[in-house]
Amino acid sequence: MNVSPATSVALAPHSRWTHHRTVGFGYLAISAVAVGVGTVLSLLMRLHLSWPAWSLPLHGPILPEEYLGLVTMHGTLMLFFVLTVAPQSGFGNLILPAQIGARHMAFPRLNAASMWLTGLALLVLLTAFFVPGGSPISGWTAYPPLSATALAGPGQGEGMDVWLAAIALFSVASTLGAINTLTTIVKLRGEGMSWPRLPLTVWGWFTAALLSVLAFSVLLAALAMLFCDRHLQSSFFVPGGDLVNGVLLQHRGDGSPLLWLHLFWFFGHPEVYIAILPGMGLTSMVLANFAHRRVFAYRLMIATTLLIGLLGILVWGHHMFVAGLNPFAGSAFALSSMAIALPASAKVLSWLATIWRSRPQLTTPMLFALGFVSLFITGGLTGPILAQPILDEYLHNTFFVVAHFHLIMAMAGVFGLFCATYYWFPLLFGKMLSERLGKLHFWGTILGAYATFLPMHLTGLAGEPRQYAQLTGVPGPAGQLLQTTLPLQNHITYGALFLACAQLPFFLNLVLTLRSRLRASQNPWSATTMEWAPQAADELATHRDPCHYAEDGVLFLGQWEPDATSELPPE
Amino acid sequence: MKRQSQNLRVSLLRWAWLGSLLLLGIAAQSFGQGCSQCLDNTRATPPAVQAAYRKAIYLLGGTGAALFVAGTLLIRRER
Amino acid sequence: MPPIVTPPEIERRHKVHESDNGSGRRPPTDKRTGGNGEGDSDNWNDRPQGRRGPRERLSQVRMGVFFGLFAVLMFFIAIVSAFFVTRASGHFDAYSKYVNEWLPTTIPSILWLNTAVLILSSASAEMARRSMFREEDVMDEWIGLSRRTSQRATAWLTLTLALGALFLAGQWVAWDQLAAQHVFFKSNPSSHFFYLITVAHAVHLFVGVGALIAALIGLRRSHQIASRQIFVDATVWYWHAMGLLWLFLFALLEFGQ
Ligand code: HEM
Ligand SMILES: [Cu+2]
Repeated sequence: MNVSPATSVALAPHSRWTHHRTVGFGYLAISAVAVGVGTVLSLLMRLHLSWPAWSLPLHGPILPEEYLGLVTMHGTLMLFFVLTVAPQSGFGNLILPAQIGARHMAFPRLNAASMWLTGLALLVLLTAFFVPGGSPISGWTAYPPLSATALAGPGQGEGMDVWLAAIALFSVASTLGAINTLTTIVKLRGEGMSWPRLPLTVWGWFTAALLSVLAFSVLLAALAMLFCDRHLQSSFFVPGGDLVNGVLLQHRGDGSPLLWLHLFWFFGHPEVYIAILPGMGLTSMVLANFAHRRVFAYRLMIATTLLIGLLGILVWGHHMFVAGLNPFAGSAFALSSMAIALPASAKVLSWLATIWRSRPQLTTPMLFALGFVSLFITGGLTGPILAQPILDEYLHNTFFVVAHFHLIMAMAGVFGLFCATYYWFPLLFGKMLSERLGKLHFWGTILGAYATFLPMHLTGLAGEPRQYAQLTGVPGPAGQLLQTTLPLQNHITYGALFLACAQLPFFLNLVLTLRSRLRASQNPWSATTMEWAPQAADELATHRDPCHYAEDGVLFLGQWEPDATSELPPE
Repeated sequence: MKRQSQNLRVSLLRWAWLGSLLLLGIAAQSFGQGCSQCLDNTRATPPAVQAAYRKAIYLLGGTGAALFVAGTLLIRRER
Repeated sequence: MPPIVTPPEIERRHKVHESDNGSGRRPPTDKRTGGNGEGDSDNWNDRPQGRRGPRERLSQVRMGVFFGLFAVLMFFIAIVSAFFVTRASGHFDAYSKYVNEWLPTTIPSILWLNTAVLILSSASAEMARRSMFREEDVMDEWIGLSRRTSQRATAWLTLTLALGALFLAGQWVAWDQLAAQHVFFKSNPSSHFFYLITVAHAVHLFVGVGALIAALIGLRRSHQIASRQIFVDATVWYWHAMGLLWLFLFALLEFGQ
């Protein structure tokens, strides 16, 4: 009657293709391709901004529409295929089941399907480079009316169609993946893994998945309507009698781009939180791990994670302050946006309190977690500034915004990813990445990040607009103003090149480590969360909250260990 | 004696709260903010359209938030 | 790297599942009869403790369907919010008069019929779902005495499928009738929405039809009553949701234009 372990092995419960580990690595591979291409594109943009006459080998000089294509593809690749895919789906699959004491995801086949769909979406997106007219030029936000007609520019024909198809596929895939994540967390938690015992990483994944379910389908609806506008002459987003490049658009009705902005940013703002929430959770856990402390105000951190998610649904209007939004709506959105600063600050305070006077162990993952905190603060401070409609009037569409979101989202997100990589590498590969190279990598990266993105605040304040292909040769006082930013522009470009080169130690580290024979010990970081348990998942039960460390900072009790009569103080 | 001064402090605190709320309420920030173009644009928009946008915002944000809350409440039933 | 000191007692947990069998609502045996196509989920040992029974698997799938329905709901809410905005929007003409081009699309009356058909299909779907969970019959089927529940559910689901197809055909007729009156997608902002909403809903219903067919195949092929229950249950919940959604959308189109 009872099945012996031998039979259950013989029955080979999971096909390799639907195993969450395979799926997780698949997602990471997708992200790796996207981040590679996206980085090259960003460097091209920087080179072009600094030296507009520079001609790309095998291609020639970068034309204005090509520059806009670079902007669009860079943003789309990075935001969708890197910052959404890698933390949420990639590490979500690799780590989440083990962290909640489950052996697999709830719907393995659905999981694999959404991974392949995401890969297909990436492929489709990348074809945009090669279709006639080249890649689309309306940015990752695809504002109509320019995105609604092929007349708007070379990339707005087939390139834009390809973009729409790719993002539609991506939306479907993300929704399916999020359903899987949610069900897994709700239903498959192992014995004893009650809600308050869930690591904050899991709370981050959970909230991000809930946001994905709600946000991506709105994006999908908006994409469908934009498609109709483009090909069926409807006018959901096209104003009546609109002229584009001197041609009167023949669409029926009086649509409004504002409507697109509403729908897009209803998705867009949650999307940026989807990108960062897993990193926030991981930061909490890693800081506590290496400070050998409890996370400060654990329950409150769960609450703030959920609150950030909830408020994140209600703030989308702060991207539309100068888009013709009713000023009263602007005030309301400003208020809700500044309200979100409260839970965000609570998080920062908890991070600081967790490490306060703790003599933390400065391993590479810890450094990246600290870097995350640092970047989150620097990038976060500009958030409430931008959230004031009056200030945003000036700052909107300047490099100030670029600085804001690159620090708080792009760089913090990437630091979260590196933190995850260094932290979980022993778990995934049984080997430790070299600490020495890791630290070199960290210091180079944080230096490069700040060198690149801090000066953007200044050029933005000086008036440098976003998404302009060329800053030189502009006549009049505006041109003179831009001229003054050129030295900083060059500095930013060098910073970006440096930042890219600072990744070399990382790749070296990967190669050297994977080739070495040294095995890591089973739980090298003295971590307390379930994924580090020495037992197999079906023998596991959770016995306590995470981060149970003794005063001396050496002894610890994993979540998996049954109550022991050790020297540890009782809970 | 001590009791009294405590009471006084509490009531002072309450007035301070009310006062700052009042100040917040009449601050420029709590009225419509936005660029003059937005204001012009809004003034040129018939009230029916403004109402429609308002309705749409409530509908979208309300449903989203309600589902988010429902999702988090739903899970509380699971252990 | 500091020395790693683990507290002395790492006791491997004793295997609970040996004493865990035969409790709760689960059947007294580990019914591992299946294997075709359900390879990975019919192994109860894959589940963490206390979550290995068919009930758990059912509630998992249900939860997945419900989260999916969240997404579907938001999809339509987005379209409906756009509907409200566009319905009110217009432009100023040369005489500074505000013109609103929105001309309500006359809803073909066949949609009432379709709605009734959809309600009926939901009812028959519910019959199928209920019959999958009728206790005595399920017990019989478990033991292998009969397949009465599955047969009954197959009958009801086939009816649902037929009614669902009838609904889709009815929608097609409605589009045809409108086309005969020269009302196309392009005609007017209101017809944009009429077509967008009905077509988007039809696409979702099409997915439901696919699920019905899958469930019918599952009812024939699957060797586990638990899996059969899941097929039917998940499909029917989705079907109900699409029916309910249609009621709202139809009301919007009929009375809200
Ligand atoms: C205290 C919290 C925050 C506030 C008040 C805030 C406020 C704002 C505002 C008002 C804008 C619009 C600026 C403009 O376009 O003129 C903006 C842009 C942006 N924010 Fe934030 N933000 C906050 C946190 C975050 C976080 C945590 C992320 C991501 C993880 C983020 C990512 C972005 C992105 C990507 C954009 C630019 C989108 C674009 O136009 O392409 N922000 N933020
Ligand atoms: Cu935002």
